[in-house]
Amino acid sequence: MAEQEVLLSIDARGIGTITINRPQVYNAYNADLLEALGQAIEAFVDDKHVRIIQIRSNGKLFQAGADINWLKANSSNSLEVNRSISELTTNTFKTLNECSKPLVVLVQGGCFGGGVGIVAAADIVISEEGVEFAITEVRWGLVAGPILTQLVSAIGLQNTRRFSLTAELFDANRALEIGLIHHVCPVGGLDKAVLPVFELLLRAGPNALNATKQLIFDATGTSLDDKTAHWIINQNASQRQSSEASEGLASFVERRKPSWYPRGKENDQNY
Amino acid sequence: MSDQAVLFERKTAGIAVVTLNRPNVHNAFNDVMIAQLTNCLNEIATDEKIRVMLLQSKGKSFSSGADLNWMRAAVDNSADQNVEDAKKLAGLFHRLDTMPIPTVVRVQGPAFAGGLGLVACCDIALGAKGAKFAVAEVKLGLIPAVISPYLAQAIGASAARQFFQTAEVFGANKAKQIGLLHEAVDSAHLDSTVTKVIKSILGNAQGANRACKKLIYEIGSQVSEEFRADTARQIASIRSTVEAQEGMSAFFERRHPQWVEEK
Repeated sequence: MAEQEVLLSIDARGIGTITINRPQVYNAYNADLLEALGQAIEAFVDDKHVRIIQIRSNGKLFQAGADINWLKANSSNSLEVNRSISELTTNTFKTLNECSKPLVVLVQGGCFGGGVGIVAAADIVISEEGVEFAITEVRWGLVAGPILTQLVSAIGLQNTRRFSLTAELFDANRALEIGLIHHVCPVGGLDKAVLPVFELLLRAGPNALNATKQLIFDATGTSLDDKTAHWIINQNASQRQSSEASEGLASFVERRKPSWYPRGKENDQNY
Repeated sequence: MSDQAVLFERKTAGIAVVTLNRPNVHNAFNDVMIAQLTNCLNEIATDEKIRVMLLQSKGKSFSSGADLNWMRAAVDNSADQNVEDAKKLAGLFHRLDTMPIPTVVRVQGPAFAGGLGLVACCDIALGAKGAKFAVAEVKLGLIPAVISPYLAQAIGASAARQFFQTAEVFGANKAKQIGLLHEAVDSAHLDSTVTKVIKSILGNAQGANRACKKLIYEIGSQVSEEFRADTARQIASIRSTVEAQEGMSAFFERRHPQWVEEK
């Protein structure tokens, strides 16, 4: 049997833990991982023993976003196949973002592309110091569609405009400043740093927590509606099939710069 | 040419540099500048070769917003003409907000009122630490009508409630804190900061950047044509009031308007 993409456990306090488990590819997600992640959230939401859900991951890097090899293998596939990938991605992020129980995410090492979407979908995020973040999609000719709505909710429109268009790296302190994460702890200190968060959440009435979370979405109108989801899925699928994306994905796999990358001295000047 | 209100230059690698060029009036915009800037943005928007746009301005001030001489004169026009003029102003902000490519703005000095609106309509705002900001309209008997949707999206409802109504001056650090600026750096580092961000963008895929920009607009609370027209009618109406005319006159005469009690 292949190794499990996500590991699940529930402790006596009612904390359900989802551990993303593809450390050999920096926990990048493919279809199997996304499906397992969505199912895990749904199972924990339905399980009355689970009061709080936490997501963490094995290995050096929290999450590297989509598995580029998986995307590359499918970008030349039919529009139908690409739509189903975009649909799965968008729906999984919706499930994460709108999960009715408190969701805590613990981040180590680095967090890129869709990984930033997992973080933005959480209620409380703790990151080790020095962790690097980037919304990298445009670098590979892709569009971060499925995670953009929750990014706007988490870091605001202007920060989304900047970081999704530049794809630049930012560190945990900057992530804290823009509201993507809530607490920075020393390297190796995630387990300790999350204790008081669990303590507080366990003191709260479970039904009150769920009702509060529901109200936050209803009051701010930040649930992903079907029309926007449909639009995101179509756009995401067609951009992945573009020649630009295939060049971007190829350049990633071949460890070279894509054809559009600026060359020459004129790019070193100030504008 | 020096009498151009807006300068436009295409740099290598697909960079469009747009420079506001009325430094002697703090880059305030009148009808000429609004038309030139709108035309220039239209040209950039239809040029497939351009990958990123930099908006900047000449002189010490970034922009002090709408030219009050022009605003004040609106009362001399017919009601219809007044609204049409205001719609052109609203159209400029809409044009900038919906550019199909990433837009970077270099804020080297003060940005007031509509000048702040320009900043809020760009994707990435990089400012000098010494830059000052104010949503100054109500001080003059006006309202931040046409810029309000963009500014409120950028700084959030809470900060909008404060700064729209107090018209107080705030610094670059505060501007960064409320989300108007992405970076507030020493003047000496402003150009290198701009360069770094533009380089990041040039390293990305052009089609994806354009698609991403569309998506950002789609998921943001898009400003409807109806609402834009309504903001234009509001500014057209208020700038014709006795109160606003007094506020703008007081500004030019360097005195307090009547509603400020002399101490």
